[in-house]
Amino acid sequence: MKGFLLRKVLIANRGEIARRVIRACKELGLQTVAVYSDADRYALHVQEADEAYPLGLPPPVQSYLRLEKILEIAKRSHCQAIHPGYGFLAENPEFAQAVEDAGLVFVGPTAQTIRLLGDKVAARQLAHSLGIPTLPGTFEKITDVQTAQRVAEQLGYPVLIKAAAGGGGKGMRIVQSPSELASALERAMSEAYTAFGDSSVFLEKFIPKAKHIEVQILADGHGNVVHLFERECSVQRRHQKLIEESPAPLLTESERAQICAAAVKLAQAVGYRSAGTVEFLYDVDQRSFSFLEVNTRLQVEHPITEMRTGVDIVQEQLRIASGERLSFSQADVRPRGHAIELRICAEDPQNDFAPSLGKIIEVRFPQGEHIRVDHALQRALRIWPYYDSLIAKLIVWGEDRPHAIERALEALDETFVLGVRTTLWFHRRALEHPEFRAGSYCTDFVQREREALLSKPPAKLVETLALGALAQEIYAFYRDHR
Amino acid sequence: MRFIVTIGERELEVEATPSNPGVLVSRGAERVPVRLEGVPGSKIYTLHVGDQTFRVALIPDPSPTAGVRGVLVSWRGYEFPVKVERAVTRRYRVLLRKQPQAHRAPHIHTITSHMPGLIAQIFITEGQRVEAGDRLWLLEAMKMENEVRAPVAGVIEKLYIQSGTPVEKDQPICTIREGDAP
Repeated sequence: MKGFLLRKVLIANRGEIARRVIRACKELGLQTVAVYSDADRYALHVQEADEAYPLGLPPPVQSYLRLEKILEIAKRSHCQAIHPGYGFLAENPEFAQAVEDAGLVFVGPTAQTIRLLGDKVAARQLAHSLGIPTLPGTFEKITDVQTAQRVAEQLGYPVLIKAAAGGGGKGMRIVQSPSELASALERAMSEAYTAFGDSSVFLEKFIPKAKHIEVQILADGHGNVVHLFERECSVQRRHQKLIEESPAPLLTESERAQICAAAVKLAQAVGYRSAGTVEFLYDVDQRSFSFLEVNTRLQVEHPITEMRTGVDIVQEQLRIASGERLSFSQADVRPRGHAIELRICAEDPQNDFAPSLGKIIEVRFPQGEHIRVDHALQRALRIWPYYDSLIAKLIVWGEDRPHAIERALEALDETFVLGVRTTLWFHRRALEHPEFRAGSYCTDFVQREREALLSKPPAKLVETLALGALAQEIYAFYRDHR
Repeated sequence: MRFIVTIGERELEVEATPSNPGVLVSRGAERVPVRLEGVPGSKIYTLHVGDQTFRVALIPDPSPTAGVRGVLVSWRGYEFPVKVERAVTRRYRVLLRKQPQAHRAPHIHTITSHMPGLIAQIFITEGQRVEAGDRLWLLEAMKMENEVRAPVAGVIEKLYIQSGTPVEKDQPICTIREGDAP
């Protein structure tokens, strides 16, 4: 690498994203240091890094959120940079600041940028001041019921309560009527406090028929900003994404140009550095965009952008962190075809997507050109309640959307994750659903089409499949009585 | 040999005879060859039924009843439990079945965890009186908080866990003696 000092990187994360970052480091010839909680002692990211150090007990506050401990390990192991992955400390400005103060490089934006954009209310104000449309709502933080009631009355129900300090669906509540407001506010504030250590929230008008569309940006901190086009992430449950695709279906070329330009403008305004995502809400009835928030980190769904553009976003983050300028311009970014990501979660869709814990018995993943699986699963791995339920990402590329969907269905057919309940069957149903096929689905898709998306195979087929168990019993019987 | 295959609430009685390389299964007038191919050490099989082929996983799901094979069948991520038993074993079992055990006193409710997770906070103590709908504890699972409320009014008789404890699905957390204080 041409950069000034980068030789060794600590990855302050676990699971598939830690492996993803380790791979990018290896491809750039960088040494890697992993950290792990007691629950992850034998995890793949620990085995694949050049060095690994323990952090403590399994709960994140006693391990992956231990900022000082992680810094100490980084210094002790002579790292020059820390990559935070996503979640945990990725959007914590104190951590980014502490890393820089210790003379190390934080692979991400500056602490100042994270602080500014992490304050969702300040980010709204910023977008508004740049002439980027925002949703009707508050430009101040709310911490009491009286203010919330007054604002909600002004906006008109339904309204959306959101955490001021962070995204990802935590601390988010839709309120349909005044009677629900007080308890929803209490829960949202409590969740926000648990997730971000800050209970303040803000209110926005809730748009029922909306698509979630976001733009990937890359900036080198020397004034060069490019976008890597958009992703649509409207298949969600509990405000968390289950399927992402790129490009966004049904988006016109002028709409696409408009949101990508808005994202770049915002990044330029704050002197952004590293990879980031600008999220928008697309009101289907009004055919209009509103700014939602900026995620100042690598995103879970970054692989679909990589599949379409050929840009390795994590490698670019590392190059930027070592002080390099972007090696390509906007005109060089030429996306091809269509990419889809399926987030396979250890959850039971039949039981309201409740977490499914257990021990992995066996895994089998598809293989082939244009198929990518990012995961950290292995036999005997325990799925713990301490961490995110995302256990694997199935990513496919096709020359167009229909081909990508076909390939995704075939890839699903080859996928087995045994030992926990998963969203695999749900994903198949979603890809087969006429609304998904048409590309017209909105963020209420999973909730509204719940029945169709969770429908079981026909009884006759289930009986046929059960013959597998019968055959096994007969084989065993004759083996034992031979 | 006759077998009883139980899928959920449904029971099928089938006649199965070995027929190299598989099994010939007949149910009523239907006769269909069934064959299972797998590799040692793997739970994933190719299932041939007539001219249809399926990729399935057969995960042992131990049954508490002797002579009953419990299997979790997984196809395209759709999982369902199946029990297989020889019809002759079933007849003996029915003959030998003991009287059902006496039920627990109906006015003591055992409250179990409806999902796996962490008990983040407990709002009750043993001996405390609760009304139906009172908050019992916060169950945190994969960063989501779920408030659990008392299904009945009564007195907390036993509290089995402390806050900060991970719990499995269906794990008993407390018992409530329904009605007024003793």
